[in-house]
Amino acid sequence: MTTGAVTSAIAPEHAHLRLHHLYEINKLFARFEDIEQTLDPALRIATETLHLRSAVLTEADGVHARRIVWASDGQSTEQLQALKARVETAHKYLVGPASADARDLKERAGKTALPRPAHTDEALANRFIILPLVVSQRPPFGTLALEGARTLDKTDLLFVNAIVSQLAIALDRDRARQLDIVGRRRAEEALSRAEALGAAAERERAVAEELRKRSEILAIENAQLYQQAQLAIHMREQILAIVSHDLKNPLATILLTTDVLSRRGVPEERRRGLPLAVGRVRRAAERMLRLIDDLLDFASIETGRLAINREPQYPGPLVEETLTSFESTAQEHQVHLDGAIQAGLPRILCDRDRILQVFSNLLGNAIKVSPKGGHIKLLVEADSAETRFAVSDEGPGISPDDLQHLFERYWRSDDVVYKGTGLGLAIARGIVAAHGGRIWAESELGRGATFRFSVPNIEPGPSSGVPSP
Amino acid sequence: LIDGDEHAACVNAWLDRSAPGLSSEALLRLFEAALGALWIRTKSALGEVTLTVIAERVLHNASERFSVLWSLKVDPDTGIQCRELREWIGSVHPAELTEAIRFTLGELLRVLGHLTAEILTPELHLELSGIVQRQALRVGRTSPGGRYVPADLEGKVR
Repeated sequence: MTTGAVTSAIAPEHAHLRLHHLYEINKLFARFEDIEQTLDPALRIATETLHLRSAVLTEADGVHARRIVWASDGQSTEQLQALKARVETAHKYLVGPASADARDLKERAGKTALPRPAHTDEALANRFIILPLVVSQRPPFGTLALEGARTLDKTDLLFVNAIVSQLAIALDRDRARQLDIVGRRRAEEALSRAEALGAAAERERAVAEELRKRSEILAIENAQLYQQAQLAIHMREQILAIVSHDLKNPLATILLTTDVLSRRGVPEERRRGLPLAVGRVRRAAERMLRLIDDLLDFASIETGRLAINREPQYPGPLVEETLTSFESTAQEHQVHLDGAIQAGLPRILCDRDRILQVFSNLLGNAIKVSPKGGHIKLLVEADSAETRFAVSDEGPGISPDDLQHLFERYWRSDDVVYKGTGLGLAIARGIVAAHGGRIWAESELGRGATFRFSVPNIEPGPSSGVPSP
Repeated sequence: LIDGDEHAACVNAWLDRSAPGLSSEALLRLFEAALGALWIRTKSALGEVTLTVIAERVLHNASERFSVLWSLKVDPDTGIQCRELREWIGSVHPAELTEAIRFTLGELLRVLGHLTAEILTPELHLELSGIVQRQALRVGRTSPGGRYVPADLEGKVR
């Protein structure tokens, strides 16, 4: 059966560049001021990916309408007319004829002149994408049309769609803000008029006062929505930053290594280097996989959908298993691992794999920051209420300022001695919290660090337990 | 360059292959399967918000020409829904429904093609032409020719 998609191949380095461009454009839309300060620079960035020849933004609310046309140097009037006719047809279809027929349709040229393309393919139909400006639960309020100089493909469509979606959100927010300002001004004017009329206009004043209150409520709601939108945009930016930056290095390793492997050379030399090269590719792919796993786990935690399958477990074997699984890594980094398990520990109710994930994260970090010959100690002990796990290292330690932010999502210290995604400790915190426990760190600069987390006991622990911090 | 005629030709070929002799109920199921497949394929590229706007406009135009389609609704999560039409489909003549399907699918492909530089066109045409075979994998059994034949369509699909 042949019903598969027709897919477009895209080189990894181009994919990364597109992500980077999208990230930069999103940043512009997140702090939307006006078209000149936002869409103009965004189009300049998009041109690097799409080889844009022209762009047309049409906004309409049924009464008022504006159209901004960005053309490239040397584009003829006839070519622009053909483009605008196409936009007109599609816009009327998507937004409705009334909007495009609005009597005060104001058209102007965009501030930025797009660079003259070296070559333009013939057929406009295969170079032209027009999508509606729309946000969820609302009718469309405009269109953005982009004309490439060359035939566009599916990756271009995905790129354009991402830009149009973000632009729609930014413009919708801006429209809401403008409405809010107009509403407030009207309320204030009505109040002033009522006050001027004195007591005789008491009723009108009351109405105006009510109007003002409603406007204030609307303004507060609008501000809350704006904050939520900003937060969502900020989170998306951070994810894009992680994806675009942290996937870049392992991807570069894979590209470089496979490039070397594919070159013609002395066969014997290549054979000898093969295991090393394959190992590099494998480690780079594993790093990418870990990052993707982290992003998925983090998304589950953020949406409260992290799967936790709790069963009664003795804590000692969890420590032993962690020590065993990190034995070879510790040898590779020339650090010593020691375990200390308190006798007579009670059982805890936990998801074994998730607790091992937390342990692995903490121990993995400890190994990365430990000096050669350093010692790392894993400890588990309990008091009557909870069981506490600890991982101590002899690394450079953490400053008091950094200690406050360690478990925040995406946070990375400026002076870290290893690079992470900024997600590992946030995920650990999410997992521990899902078990009803706590996680914290103790450290002084130059004196190593101890990361601890606790899980509640399900049976009485030893009465002479360790004191809580 | 793919023009409107080629979208229409794709739909015509598919209908000529799959629709003759079908009851209105069976035609509606075929229509729903086609809409569902096109929806899923397009949603991955455009997202449900954009696709909903486009589908609503297409349905609006289609129902102006074919009143039998007036009750069709667009659900952003699941696509175009024919639930209400299903309740009284027995009273619709198969020929009328066939023409309504012909117009709606042709219009949907034409508009999507026009808006997206015809980028999605090849895979949407492929998706539509494979709709019968795909159903075979999901629920039904396969005819000697390799095509899916739902129980109540047996002997009617050529």
